[in-house]
Amino acid sequence: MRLSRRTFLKGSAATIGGIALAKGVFSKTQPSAVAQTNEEITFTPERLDYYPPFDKWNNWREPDGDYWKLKGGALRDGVKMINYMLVPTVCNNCEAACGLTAWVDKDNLVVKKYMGNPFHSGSRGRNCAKGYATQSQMYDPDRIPFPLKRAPGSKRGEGKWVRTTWDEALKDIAKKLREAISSGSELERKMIMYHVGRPNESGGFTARVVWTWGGDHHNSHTNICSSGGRLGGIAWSGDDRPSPDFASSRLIFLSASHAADAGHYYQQHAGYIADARAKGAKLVIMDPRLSNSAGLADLWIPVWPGTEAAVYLSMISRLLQEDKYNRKFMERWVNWKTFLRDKDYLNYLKDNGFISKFPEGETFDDFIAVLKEIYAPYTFEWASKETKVPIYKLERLYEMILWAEDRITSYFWRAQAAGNRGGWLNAGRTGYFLLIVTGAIGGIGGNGWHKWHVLGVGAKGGKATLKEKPGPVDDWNELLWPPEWPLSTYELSFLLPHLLSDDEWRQKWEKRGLKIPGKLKLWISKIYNPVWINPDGFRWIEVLRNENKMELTVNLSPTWSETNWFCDYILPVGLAGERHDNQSAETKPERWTAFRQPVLRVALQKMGWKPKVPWRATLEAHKKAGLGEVWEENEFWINLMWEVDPDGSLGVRQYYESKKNPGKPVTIEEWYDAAFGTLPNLSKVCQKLGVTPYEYMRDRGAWTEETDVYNVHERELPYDPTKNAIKYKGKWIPLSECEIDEDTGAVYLKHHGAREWHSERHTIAVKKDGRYLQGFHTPTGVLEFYSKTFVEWKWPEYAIPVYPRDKEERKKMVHIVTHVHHDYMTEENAFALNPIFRLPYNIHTRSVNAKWLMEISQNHNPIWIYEGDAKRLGIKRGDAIKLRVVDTVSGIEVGYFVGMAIPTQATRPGVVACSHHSGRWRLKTTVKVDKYELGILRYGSALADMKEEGSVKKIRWIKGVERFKVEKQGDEFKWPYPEFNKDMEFVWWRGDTGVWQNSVFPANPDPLSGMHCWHKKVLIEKAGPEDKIGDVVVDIEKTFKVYQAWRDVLTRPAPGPNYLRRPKWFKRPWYPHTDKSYRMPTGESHGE
Amino acid sequence: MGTVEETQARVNMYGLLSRLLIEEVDFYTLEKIKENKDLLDLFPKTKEWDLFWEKDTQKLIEEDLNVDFTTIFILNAYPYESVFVNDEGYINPTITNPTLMFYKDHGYSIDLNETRALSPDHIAVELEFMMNLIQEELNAIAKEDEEELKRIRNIQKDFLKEHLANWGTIYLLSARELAQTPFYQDVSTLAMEFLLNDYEYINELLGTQKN
Repeated sequence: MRLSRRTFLKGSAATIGGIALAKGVFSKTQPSAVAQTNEEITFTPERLDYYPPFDKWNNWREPDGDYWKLKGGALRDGVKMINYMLVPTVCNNCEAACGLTAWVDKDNLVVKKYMGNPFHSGSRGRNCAKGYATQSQMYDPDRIPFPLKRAPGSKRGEGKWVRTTWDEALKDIAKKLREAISSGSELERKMIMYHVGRPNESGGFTARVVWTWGGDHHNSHTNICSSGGRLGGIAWSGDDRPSPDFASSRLIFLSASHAADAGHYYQQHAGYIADARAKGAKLVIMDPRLSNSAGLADLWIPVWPGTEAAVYLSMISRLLQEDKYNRKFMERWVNWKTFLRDKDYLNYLKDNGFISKFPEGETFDDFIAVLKEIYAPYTFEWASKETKVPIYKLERLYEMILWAEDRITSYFWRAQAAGNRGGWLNAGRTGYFLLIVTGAIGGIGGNGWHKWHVLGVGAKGGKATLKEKPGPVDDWNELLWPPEWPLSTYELSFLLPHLLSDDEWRQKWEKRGLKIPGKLKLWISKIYNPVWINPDGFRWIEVLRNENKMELTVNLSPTWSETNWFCDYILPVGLAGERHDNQSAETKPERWTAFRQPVLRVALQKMGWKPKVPWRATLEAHKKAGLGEVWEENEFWINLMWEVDPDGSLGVRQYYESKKNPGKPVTIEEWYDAAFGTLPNLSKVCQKLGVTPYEYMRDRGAWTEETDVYNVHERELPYDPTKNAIKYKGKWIPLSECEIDEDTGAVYLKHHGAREWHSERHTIAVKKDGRYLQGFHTPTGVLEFYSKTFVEWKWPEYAIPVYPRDKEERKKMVHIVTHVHHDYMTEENAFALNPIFRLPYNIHTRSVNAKWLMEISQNHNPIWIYEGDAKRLGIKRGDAIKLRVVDTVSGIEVGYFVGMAIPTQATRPGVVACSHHSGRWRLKTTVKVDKYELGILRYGSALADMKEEGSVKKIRWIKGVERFKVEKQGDEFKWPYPEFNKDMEFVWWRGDTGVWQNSVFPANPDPLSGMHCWHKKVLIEKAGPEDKIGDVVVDIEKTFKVYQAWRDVLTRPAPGPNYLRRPKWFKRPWYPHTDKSYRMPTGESHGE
Repeated sequence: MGTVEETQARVNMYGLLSRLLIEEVDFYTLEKIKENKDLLDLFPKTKEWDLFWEKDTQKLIEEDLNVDFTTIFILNAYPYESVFVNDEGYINPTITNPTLMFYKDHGYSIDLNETRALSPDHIAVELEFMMNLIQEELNAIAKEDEEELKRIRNIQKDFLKEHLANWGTIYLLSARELAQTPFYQDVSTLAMEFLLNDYEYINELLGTQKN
């Protein structure tokens, strides 16, 4: 029966009280006009997660905290109200890019606090301590309020500075750039280097800038950070890191504390992990140290560092032997057929004792039979011996893996990947294998990949300029990509001073036709502090001081740093609320993107202020708001490039010239409007709301373009039968230009013998069941159990994920055995040192001198040593101990440092730990510049005495942090913010800031991934009467020999097939290079 | 068309449906239905259901109706728009939920703490949203504010078109299939037919309203 309208109305008229029946979940966010005029106080939250409604962000009134305390609450009379504008931005302290809102007091243009941003679906309105501490960084009394230049006539490192202007800096830098660009010489171009410490941008605004210089200029910090983490991922999938769906997984199996208590995307990941655990998920932490996460976990696996592969392989072995592998996933998405068909390789495995006989056929079952044989020796008993983890823990882990099925997540980035030689294998290469065997790839509660989820559009504003982007570059800079490390995922950045000092190395390669510069004419870095954070810091000082090696040195840096001290220019760029960047991170299975912006500029402009020069708006706004001559990089680069090519004759200006206002530089609004306008779903919403994409992001700060992004490898690419072409990255590629791998269905471009050489392949799709799927960007289009690329680069033993089974094999396969393996701990006082765990409140060099963070951490940085070990060596709590650093490749002892011992059960026997995120220093406490007295990291570093006796370098702490009164200096700036810094007089925490371990660490480049292997073998003894905590002594000639040993003993240099410098499918970061650049000079005539 | 009485009746109907779909029916509401003939006409199968008249109301709720409610709405057919319209079939309780964005864009905030709904696109929450909009319409009628009236009716139309009537009617069809008791068969039918009817009604209303 169909009910009539009449029946409805009659019936419902009777249900008077319908309103009362409903739950009443809605409330109007826009109160009526009457309520508004009577409304004195808008802030009456009843719950902690309350956030001001968006329509009030421009005008939000809230009681001042001090008055609140005095008068007893918001609803009393006489409470002073603050007129706020909430301006969104993005945290800049780690990589996670959590949303922030700056609460700008409109009456005096001061940011009173930073809070979360509820529009940011990754961070969900939440932040960690480092996010909220942005305010204390902003109003740090030791900030640099204007550009500084090394005083004329002084030497680098003398600490004599003069005030300069941004215009003078632009002029000087532009001159060097102009000379290089106009020279037309590759060698000249190679002498220009941009070196980024903390990028914190996605999609690459800066990448496009450096690209427009026309050569190979980009250097990064990555190989002290994550290149070990990346290589394992690339070998399997072509993507360098996972994007786990923690929130929906059943087993979170992490190596180290990463993700859960301090790591890469900490705060967002930790929140999702907590959500999963609330739903019953298990957490397992594999870490030699009992981190906060390990303490909370369901299972702690205190593994010997660098033997993690043994745990993974033992799990895989048991899963295979018990037929518990995920057949459906493996059969479809692993390149097992490629492996079975390569008889040469099977022969190689047979010759080396990994298999006893050839597989009978070429079916998936034959593959499983081979795997069963290869992995049979990796038993729990074997793994327990190798890792020193009790078997019962492995049994428990195995039970959890069985229970969790394909809902297992992990993260491979630092930890074992960054600590150890062979870290890439101990992390991703074997770790992903476990995830693949269980099928925990791509689906709900499993692991996606970084490229599926990250959404950066920073470089896509080119439509707002006369020319969108340059073509691929022809240069290859060996200072960035030395031939010894062809499989390195990123630049060998930490070797820059070594390579510049190594004439012998340079001459060796010059003889083979390479052109390598012996110096740099311009070294410009961004938020980078290699002197302190890189290994062998004294070698950096040596090269930075040498004006014959580094002609002009510039650091774009919001704070003082050890590196700045040795540069020519320190250019103060903004912190989280003072700069423009588009940033995204793959923190969950969705695609969100966020906008970091200078909040004072935005607030001023919303209040009606107009800049005199629109492309310098941020600098003008910061001056007007009293922040000082603090600029930001987007505008800096646009202005710099205008200075480089003022008349357009170099062909560079067009990339920066506004399409809207030809003849003028592009503005931030124009750029980001075009960039965010490339997001289709955002554009649709903007149309509906009647705002531009720039305005949307300016006002809300974050956007989520797509949710529930799973199993992207199964997505179909458009196929046009009339063209016989598939659509790849927006272009139709005719299949006539492609070949198809008959074993896996990989569709790759025909060129340079790509059928034979996997290193040459550029795979665009994978054909399965007659459809073209996205697949994985590997030569075989699927996940590569067997990487023929490794064979082609002379590393056949590591083409499949295996690990040495005994001591003999460990000697043979030394390239993937950790340099701190227990085999090397032959002395009674020998230990493996783990220096790379993060602290939740400190982040490398960026959070230094944030007073709130300094107070939480007290800069306390002891050396964790297992109780039993301490007892054996007679070491008690608080003792000063000396750690002598010994290299296990060359046998050279390079120096020592002195730290304070804390005996504990929270680190495994034989392994000591001391985080290298502490131990900052300064050589002077204040400097006089112009009429001002500038403080230098006074409450975040120790005052140090540096002594140099030839190649032996020493540092000793003279004095720790300071307490001092902050007084107003002149009327030009609000700096140094005496009101905000009244409490500096009450600094109570002690003086020790830890120890500068990094300087005693020689550079240890992994022979495959190029990662600096951070862990060290140390010999521990009690300090002598002359030693003092914080002491460092190192001989940089010895560290240099260690670097040479790692290079010459362990690497297998390029060229590879067809004279390639590296596999074609190992992309260069940042911007594309031509095919020619990928080949060594003598290789031009090779190939098809 | 669009009289105060008619509009008030719509408020009531949306309120009642929202109540019946947000959680298990309670003694008071069921008694009310039992007692009121006009109201009972909306539940034709229930009216013919012997158990409804014979069994003690509280017992009927506990032993029959709650079981059916759980089977339909909690275990089998999740009453969330995001579940229904996304291929993956997951609840999207985040700020990106399009329904939540619709509420926010039209000046409403939402607090689910008082309900068991996991996400703002629960069918009962969407029904309550319509109820709120129609209450605003009542205010506009009282103020004789034609502009506002038109605006608020357009929002109703958009919301029905883009959200509630779009997925809700199909959803209710499947809920009806699952229902074992005449009561929840009636609730599903009533909600579905009313939504279709009301969507037609609001379109006609806007068609006749002066520009």
